[in-house]
Amino acid sequence: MRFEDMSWAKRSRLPGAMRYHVVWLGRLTGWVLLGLLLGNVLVLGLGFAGADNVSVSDASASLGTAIALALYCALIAAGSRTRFLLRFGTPRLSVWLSNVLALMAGMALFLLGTLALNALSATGVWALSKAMPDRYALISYHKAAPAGDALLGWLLARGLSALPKQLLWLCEWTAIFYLLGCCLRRNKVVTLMVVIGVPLALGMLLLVPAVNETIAALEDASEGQIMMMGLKWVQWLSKAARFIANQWQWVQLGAAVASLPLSYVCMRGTPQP
Amino acid sequence: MESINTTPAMRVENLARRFGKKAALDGLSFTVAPGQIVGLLGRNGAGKSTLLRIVSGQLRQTAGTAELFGRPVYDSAAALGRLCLIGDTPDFGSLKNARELFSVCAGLFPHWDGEYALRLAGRFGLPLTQKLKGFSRGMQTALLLSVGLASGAELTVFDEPSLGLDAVMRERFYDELVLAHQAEAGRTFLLSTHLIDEVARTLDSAVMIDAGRLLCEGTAEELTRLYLSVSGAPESVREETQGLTVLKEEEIAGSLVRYLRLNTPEDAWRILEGGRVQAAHMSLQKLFVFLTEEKEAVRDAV
Repeated sequence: MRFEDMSWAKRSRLPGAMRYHVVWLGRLTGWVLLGLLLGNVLVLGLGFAGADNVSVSDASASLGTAIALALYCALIAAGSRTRFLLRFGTPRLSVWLSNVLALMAGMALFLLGTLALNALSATGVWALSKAMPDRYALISYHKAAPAGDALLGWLLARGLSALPKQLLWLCEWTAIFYLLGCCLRRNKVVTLMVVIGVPLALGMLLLVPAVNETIAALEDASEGQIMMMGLKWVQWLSKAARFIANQWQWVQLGAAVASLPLSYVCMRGTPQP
Repeated sequence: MESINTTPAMRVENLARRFGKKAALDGLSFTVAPGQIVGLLGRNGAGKSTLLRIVSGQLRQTAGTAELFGRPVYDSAAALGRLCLIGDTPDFGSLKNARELFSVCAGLFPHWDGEYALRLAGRFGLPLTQKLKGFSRGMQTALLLSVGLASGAELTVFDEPSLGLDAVMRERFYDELVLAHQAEAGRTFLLSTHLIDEVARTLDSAVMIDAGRLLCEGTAEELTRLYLSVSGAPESVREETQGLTVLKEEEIAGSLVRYLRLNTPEDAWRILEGGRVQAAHMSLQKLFVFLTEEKEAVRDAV
């Protein structure tokens, strides 16, 4: 087939780039899932070793682990994996697109994998609690959790219902981490200064004067005045918590959506050393 | 409008790239015709690798243009999709073994020849399932050369292809390169190297650069036709070469050897017809050395 007659994807080497990501990302996430599985098996085995309080209270996906893995994979993808593809002359749009698609799909599959593992673990503990009720127990601290055998089904359903939101959060953080990786590759020093320096500066400019003022006021304040100051701080904290609960999801989504095109602009202009 | 057969495989015009105050490329212009094996020749630090990084889209030029098959290079699938660059630093991107690398390359290069790749791995004695981390430097180079040859890319560039290879492997590579070139008529190969004499036999033409600028370009015959080495009895050599520019002169065991720049190609015939001295056109390497030293002398004088 002549080069001119090929699809854009083939001309731009997208299939090869995706194949490359499947190999390294698949291997990495596979090993991590294997490690988690071994960890779960070890925990389950503790009961046989004599431990008398092996319990499981959650069957949902491990979002924290997935986000940590997403950070690691995004930094690698933006660094050495991009370098490998660029060195063969792969166009930058293909490299960026393959990075984003592979990271999103890879992390989503990893999250599903952890859901499966945790569901298996909960089911295993439930089954073992029938045979050894003094050593294994399925528990929940949630008010609405049913007692007895219905708890397993309730935990599994809960884990499944939380999945769409977890997937969305994971994709959002993956996009943000990938932008971070591209910026680090572009200019490590400036990126670290911004990422660490800006929050530090904000904290020093806003929080420190307020805290100093409060401390100074406390020295001469009456009991009533101290209570009022404490109430002000609690009010401020509750406002912050309400903001995070109501608005943070939109801030995060907005940041993730903005991260994608910004990451392309950043990596497109980064010279390959 | 240029047809697909006459469109240059590579064209750079007034290409410049600065790193701070240093000019790695300084107004470089040349063309690589399609279907040839071309040598990009220059000393260490001449700007060869910088040039290759620009034409492969890894780096942007400060000024000038770089095109592959008539298309500007940077981030262009239409241009870069036809290129395979094999760099001088092995990088396997955490792939485990040669088989995995070939599998990835099958997706990267539209005209990839998997059977040819396996044959080349056998020719170079490369194990397919051994971990790439355990490969010697020479084996890594040989593996990447196999990728380049099997890629089937319309323009395949090898940057310092001999690094780490022993003499036997190098000869095998040059043989395979010539065979691949004969098998695919329209395919263009560019070899960037400072080992000029070694690659000279495989080249159809050469581009010589020094200090980021073009020294000369053309076929080996075109480049060397005005340069001659003449040897014989000192008196005969002096008489036969009177009026010609002497680039260098040395006395060896009673004979005088003069390296000359001729005024016209006919001067070579005249000297040879005289029969009093022995004469031969200079090798590419010798020519490159003289041209470089000449430029250095001009730079120092300025």
